[in-house]
Amino acid sequence: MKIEIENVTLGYPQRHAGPRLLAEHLSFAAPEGELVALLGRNGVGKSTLLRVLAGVRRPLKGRATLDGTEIAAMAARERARKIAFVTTEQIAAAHLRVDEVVAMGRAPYTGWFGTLAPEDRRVVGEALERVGMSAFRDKTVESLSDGERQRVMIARALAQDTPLMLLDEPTAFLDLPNRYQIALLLRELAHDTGKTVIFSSHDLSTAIELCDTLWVMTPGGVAAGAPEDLMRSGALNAMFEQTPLSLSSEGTVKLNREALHAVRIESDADNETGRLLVKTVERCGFAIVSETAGTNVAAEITILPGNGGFRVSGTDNKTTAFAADFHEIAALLRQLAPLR
Amino acid sequence: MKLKFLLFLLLLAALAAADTLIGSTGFVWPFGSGDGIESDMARRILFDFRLPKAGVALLAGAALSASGLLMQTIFRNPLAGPYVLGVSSGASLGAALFLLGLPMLGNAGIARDLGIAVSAWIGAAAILLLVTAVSVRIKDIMAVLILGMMFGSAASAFVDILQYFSSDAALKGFVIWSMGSLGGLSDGQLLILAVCVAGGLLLAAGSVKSLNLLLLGEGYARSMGVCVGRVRGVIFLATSLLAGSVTAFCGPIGFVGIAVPHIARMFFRRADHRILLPASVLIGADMMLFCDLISQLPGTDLILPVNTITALLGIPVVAMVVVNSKRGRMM
Repeated sequence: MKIEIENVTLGYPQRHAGPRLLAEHLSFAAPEGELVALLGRNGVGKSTLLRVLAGVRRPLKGRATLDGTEIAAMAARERARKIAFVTTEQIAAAHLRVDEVVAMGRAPYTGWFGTLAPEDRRVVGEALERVGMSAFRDKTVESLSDGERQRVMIARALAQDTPLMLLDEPTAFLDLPNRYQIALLLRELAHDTGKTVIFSSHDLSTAIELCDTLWVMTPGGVAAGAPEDLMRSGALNAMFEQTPLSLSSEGTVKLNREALHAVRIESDADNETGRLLVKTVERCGFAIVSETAGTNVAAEITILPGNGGFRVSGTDNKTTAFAADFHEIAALLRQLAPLR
Repeated sequence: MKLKFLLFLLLLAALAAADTLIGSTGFVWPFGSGDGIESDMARRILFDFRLPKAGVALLAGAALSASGLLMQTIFRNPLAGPYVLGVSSGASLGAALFLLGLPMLGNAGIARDLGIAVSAWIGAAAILLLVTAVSVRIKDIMAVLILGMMFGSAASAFVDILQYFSSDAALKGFVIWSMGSLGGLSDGQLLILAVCVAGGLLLAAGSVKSLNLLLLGEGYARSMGVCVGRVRGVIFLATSLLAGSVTAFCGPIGFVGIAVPHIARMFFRRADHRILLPASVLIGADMMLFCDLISQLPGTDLILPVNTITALLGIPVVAMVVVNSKRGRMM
């Protein structure tokens, strides 16, 4: 099963002007049986790309193909057996039961009345089992939490029994543990069943940690590769162009600020307290220096032995104050040089 | 589930019998031993007047409720219905254009009846298209509702203007039509109504699977193989047939279409259209028969318009749905 994007232009037709283009001349292929995260900033066209891949919308130009067949040209029922799509739409219907929603995934295989065959029931049961929602099958969807509801929608996509699964921001409204669990579940699905699973996300750390391939979408195009390859080539950092953010080598995002003032720390800052002190000072917008020789050193901080307090001495007015915790240090530093 | 259906079916039989036997002229028992003229009179009241009327009530209730359910699912709007979104007014406008514009077609005959029906369908379909065009652009349920009411008011205003410019003869024909009620349909009209309602219900029944998938949203439905455009076309046709023909022959009847699907959801506690569609049809027929029954209770000379009874029964349900939807729960 081969998914290819050939010279695709994404965008919206506009009424009184030419189409608003999001991306032009996209050409790349999706790797089989891998978990792929589609990253990019708001409005860059992630959802549009997913909708083109799902076949629910046509690209302005170019084509997306599945095993050589153009997705947009497939018959609806045939496409539904190849591609499952979890959208951002919220379910508005009351009294809809979990097993009914999952059974809807069997729609491409059932007759006009939607009656389930024993085989369909088995697939629905397996899908619920797989996402860990078997105990919820008789509950109504509105009674579930956001994370549980997302699992149900993934089970529905699983029941559709497709080689390609697309998900538009499946972790958007979830807390951190839920985000990891959903991403882990998707990873298992990709690796155990051989499905290609592509999801869009804003959650960089989960994507770097769990995905086989990242697609980083910028106005310039899409860069594809393993997280580490993209980190090495700097493609991952391209997302943060024209922002004060940058990506550290461990894959965490840092805020870059130009420090006008510096602070000298008087200690062997190798223990936990020392590391946290460095973090506090940096958070307040100060650089850390080891020599007082520079003219812009605003203060010196000493970790006092024993009680865990600190001494903060300003270099301008020669005042000395004592701080009991990091919160008080931050307050003192703000007085020395208000953060702009 | 089966028990509930059986219950509503028994209720339907009871109400149909009661509606037929009890009326403004009192209780009529045609099979009694009464001899000669009295018995003949009773039979005529029963078979020429009350039985067709009960049949119309049954058809109208079923049709309006089914069209309400279809509209609520297609528009993803729990407050959609043929009356509140102006579809009934559109049908009235269609009928008015026909009656006032073409009075030369004569006073009766199946051609005239069919003409009224077809123009009512076209009027209903026109308003449906307008509401769809709006609801594609505006996702706010209340805004669509208000605009639907505006379309309905505009259609009514056009009807008023038409009346103003009409000849006396045309106006007389129209006024008689606009007072329309469940009674007084000719055999031809009853036949057209029955065929249209059956056709509309068949179209709806053929779309239950797609309607279920549309509950998740259009994107989901598309991704599961639904041709949304085609389904929407079929549902529009069904809705126009159902709501249009009832309005053409009975006049606008409010609040049945919007309220009954919610009553069905309340009793059956399911979202599946394979259950909701027959349930709405059944409960709608029950409700309409009940409304007809109390609109002409014996013992008083008063015959209330069936419209007022349906409004009194339907509005509390609609109010409850509005309160619930403002609290975040949808259908």
